[in-house]
Amino acid sequence: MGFLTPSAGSVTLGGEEIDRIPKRQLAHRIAYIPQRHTPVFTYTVREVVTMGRASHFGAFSSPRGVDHAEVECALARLGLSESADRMFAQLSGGQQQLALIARAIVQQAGLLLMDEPTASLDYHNAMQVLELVGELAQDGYGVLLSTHSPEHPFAYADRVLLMKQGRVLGFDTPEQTLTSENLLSAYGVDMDIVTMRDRHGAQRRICLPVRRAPAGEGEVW
Amino acid sequence: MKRGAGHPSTGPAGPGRRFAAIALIGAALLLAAVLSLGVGYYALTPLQVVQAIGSRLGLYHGEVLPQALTVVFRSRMPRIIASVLIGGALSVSGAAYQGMFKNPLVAPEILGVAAGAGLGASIAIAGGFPYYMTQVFAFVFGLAVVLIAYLISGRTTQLPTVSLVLAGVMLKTLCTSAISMIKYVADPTDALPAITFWLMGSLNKVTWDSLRFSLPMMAAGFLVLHLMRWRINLLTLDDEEAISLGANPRRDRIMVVVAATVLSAAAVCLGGIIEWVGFMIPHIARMLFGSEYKYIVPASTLLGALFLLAADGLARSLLVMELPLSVLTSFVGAPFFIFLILRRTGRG
Repeated sequence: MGFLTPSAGSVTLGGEEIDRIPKRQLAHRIAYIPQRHTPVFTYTVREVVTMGRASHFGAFSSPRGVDHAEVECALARLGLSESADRMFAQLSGGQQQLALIARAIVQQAGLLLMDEPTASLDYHNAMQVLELVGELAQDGYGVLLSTHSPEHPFAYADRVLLMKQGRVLGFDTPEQTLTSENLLSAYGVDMDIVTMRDRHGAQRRICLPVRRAPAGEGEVW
Repeated sequence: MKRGAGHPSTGPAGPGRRFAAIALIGAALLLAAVLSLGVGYYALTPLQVVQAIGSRLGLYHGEVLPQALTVVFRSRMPRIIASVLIGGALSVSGAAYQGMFKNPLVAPEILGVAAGAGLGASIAIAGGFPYYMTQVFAFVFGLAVVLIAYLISGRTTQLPTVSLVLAGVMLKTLCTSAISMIKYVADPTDALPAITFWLMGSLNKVTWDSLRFSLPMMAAGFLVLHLMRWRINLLTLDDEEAISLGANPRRDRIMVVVAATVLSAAAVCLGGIIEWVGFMIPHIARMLFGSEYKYIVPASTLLGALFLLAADGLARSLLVMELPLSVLTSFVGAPFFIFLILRRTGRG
């Protein structure tokens, strides 16, 4: 997002140096979805989502009809219409994440940058958010998300950049990158990559942490 | 989704109802202004007040007592306009400070802006400068105090919310001491009473002339905050988050802080240091309308105007002698502050 200066190399977006792009225009190209959003004041969900329209009018204006229409549209799409008048802080973590995604959608940027969207979510909400990310990618959004889970990329990602402490261990399709060797050096956990079919017959890959080989069952006797 | 009564999880009512509520406050303000034109030593009925105004505007051709005209236009109207302007200015600038410093505990009085502006004004008075210089001094000192308080709080490792308040309190004490020193050396026949009046916060010296000088500053401040009212929402976010949404928080914060300080300084020049209004009213507006600054800005302005108008009406009519305005506002404001602190800690 241009907040940090690269210690080496450069960051470009569509061939342009990211520092050279004015922030307001950058907001039309990249939308950032933070892991958490903890405002000092209590805003309703609709008000939080409306803030995504900030780059679409000047500092001396307030949101107009178009902006409100976009907001309602995004709320409906993410199933938040019912909760639009509730306080953001009182939503569940998953719904908060959905509201922040709605805010990014009304921003109308092509690239969504998500910082560990599933990190603080329970299993159900995490799956819901990841499904949505998959849908957004289908709709043509570019999605760049960080995660600690080695499994999520198999289901949803086209490309994976595997990093450990600033070192790049691999950057390719999930199948190429997430190998047993790479995962061992990234996580320090021995994993098998298991390929199997789910009930619909779709091929799935799963990371299976390997447990230490049993020390001989005979000893029990 | 309509808000059901007793649903704490739902937000404030829809935009239509909120604007209707703001219009209602505006109507109440107008009514209160007419009523309070009649309040005081020489009492007038609302009808007499309306007749007096009508005859001045050429709309009413009946009999109007000349005393009524004098009382309404010479002595009361400037004062009432001043109380409306000052109440609105202090409250809306308090709301703006709270938003842009992401801190619900600040206000022009608490940040020391009011005291700083008072110091600037005192220096100008003691130096015998003309009235417009008083305003300029008040603004410059007020702005300096905000900036210093903000810089100090940014450098501390304490909770920024608390350290901003502490820095403000410290600067306020410094400014008040400096004012005392100026009073000590000021000309006791001329400058000293004038400065003393500033410290008390009173509206009985307001004239059409002082109003005329304050109006441009006030109008500019109100206009900028009104236009930027939605933007202030974005200043309540982390700067990086606001930037990622395409806002320019640094630039917007400078514009808002200048506008809010212009308003506070102009209010201090006109009516002295009036405590608590700028702190309390934004909170009441927030309780009624939620955090959305699109509503908070007009609601704080009108509620603050209404509050100070009522407080000044009481100050004039409660006792035979006139009470200092700050005494009244403190009686309401200080308990309110305690209430807010208890409520916040109660919620965790």
